[in-house]
Amino acid sequence: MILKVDHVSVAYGKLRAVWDVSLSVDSGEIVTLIGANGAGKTSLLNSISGLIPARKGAVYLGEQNIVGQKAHRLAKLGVGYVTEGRGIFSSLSVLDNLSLGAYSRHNGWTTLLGDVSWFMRRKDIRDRVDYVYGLFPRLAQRQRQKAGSLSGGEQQMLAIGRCLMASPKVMLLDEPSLGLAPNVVMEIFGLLKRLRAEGMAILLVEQDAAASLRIADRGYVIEMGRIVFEGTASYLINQDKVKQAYLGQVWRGDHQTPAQEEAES
Amino acid sequence: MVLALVRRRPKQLAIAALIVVLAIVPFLGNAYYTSVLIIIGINAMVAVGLCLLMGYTGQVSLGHAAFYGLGAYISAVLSRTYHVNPWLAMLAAVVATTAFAFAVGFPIFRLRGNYLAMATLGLGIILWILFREVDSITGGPSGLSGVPYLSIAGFNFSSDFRFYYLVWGFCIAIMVISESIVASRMGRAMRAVHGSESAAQSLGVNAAVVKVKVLALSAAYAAVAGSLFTYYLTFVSPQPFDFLFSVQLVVMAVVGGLASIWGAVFGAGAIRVLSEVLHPFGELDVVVFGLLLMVVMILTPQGLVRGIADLWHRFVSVRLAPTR
Repeated sequence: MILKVDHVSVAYGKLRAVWDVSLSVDSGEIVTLIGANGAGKTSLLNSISGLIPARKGAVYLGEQNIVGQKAHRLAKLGVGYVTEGRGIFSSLSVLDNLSLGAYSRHNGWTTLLGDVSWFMRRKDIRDRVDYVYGLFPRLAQRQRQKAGSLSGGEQQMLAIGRCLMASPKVMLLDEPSLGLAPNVVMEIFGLLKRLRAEGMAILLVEQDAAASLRIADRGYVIEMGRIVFEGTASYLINQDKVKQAYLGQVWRGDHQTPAQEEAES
Repeated sequence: MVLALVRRRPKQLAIAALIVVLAIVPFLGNAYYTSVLIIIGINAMVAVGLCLLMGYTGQVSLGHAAFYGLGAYISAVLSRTYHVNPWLAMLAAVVATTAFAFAVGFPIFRLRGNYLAMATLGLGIILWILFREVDSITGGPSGLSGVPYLSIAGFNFSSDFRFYYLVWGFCIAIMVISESIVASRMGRAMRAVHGSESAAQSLGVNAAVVKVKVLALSAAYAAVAGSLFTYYLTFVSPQPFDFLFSVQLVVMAVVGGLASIWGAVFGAGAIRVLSEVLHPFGELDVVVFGLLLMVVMILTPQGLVRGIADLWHRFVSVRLAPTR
């Protein structure tokens, strides 16, 4: 397992947000975490990525227990986090945003007159940027534009591309479908499948349970800070309680199961 | 051809023009202009540092006069009381002020927004009180006179004419250094911290360290400026380092357009010239200042430089559009 969350609890003061949660993600796997608003999804991601400390439990990245480390350290170790609302820097250009994504790859020998290892760093950044532009050709066309001038879908692509700049070992995605048109969501989910095929470990947090269960291999359902269901995506889709609570009217049973879709593609 | 140059490289052209004008001014023989421009150059150095801190990194400081004053006092005390070489005293002032900024930076940046503003305000006031009250070292409210001139191998920077080039040499060096920092990896990290601290951190930027480093750098600039200020007047007293000057520095940075190095210099110039013009109003100049700041913020929220640049672009695109 690339990422293993072991009995983690998160709390804000006395308010318990995440309670004794365990989950795991392996490379080449999309694992989805679904749940309603306020169920603790974002709190869990924030604590895995080191933005807020976990009260209890351990988080393993590979063999290493990373719990308690600060976010900027974890970025160096290979935890990529695409935050809710994308967190792109709207006043910076697309290229600057991407360059910042590679920040953790380099050491900061900044002198008063500029960077010492400027040349090597620039080449490395260019290589990574080319890779990201290969995934999102639309970003290449807009590389000089301010990131704030991009459409919502393009901003989400930029956020994912920026995360990939660091070549992380595991990617945490918080609601990448939020506020996007269905065809754009399909495009982004299609990319996640491609990353999975390249061996990326992806933890996908979603409110849109139907869409995320369709591309995920496995899933966890979180309610009031606790994991209440877990299993393969096809198992979760067929659970009556999951159907009622998260798939609702949208899920009429005429959608394809992930297995069928996999077989077609 | 000239028009093409104007259209394609307006920024570079404006900068070249500025340097030429600055180089010529002392030869006009008007002592008043020269002395005002010396003060502008000194203020501009502090404003550039504040621009890095506020405009690029997004951290408020309402106490920058403290670093400016600390630089001035350390230089003055070392060179006057302890007869240290003025250049060495200046170096010591810069090192000590930078170290001081590092030391206060880590606790102070645990705060954000309004609380950070209050803490920096407090810092400024504490140091100002120390300047006034530690009589035995600082000479109290009446200050210290008899600070020596700067000199290099017998060449004294005692006249305004000579000091002018010294100040603007330092100022342009600071601007060039700042521009290169802004364009570097560090500069990107600064702007990332400004945009969203948590997003910056999840990309591997250590936001706390970035903020403290920028504070320390801006404190170093302020110490250079403060030292030059003391050597220019050969005198130091607490009055120029009070709270109002901190506010004035912020106004300079804002008027220039917070995220612009050249804007900060322009802002320093505009505010200094303005306060000279408003001199006849006496105490009322503060009111006029406030009004002007409001007008600038409403009409050109990006700062005067950007506002003028926009006007210029409009003019260029209308008048100088290439004919087909």
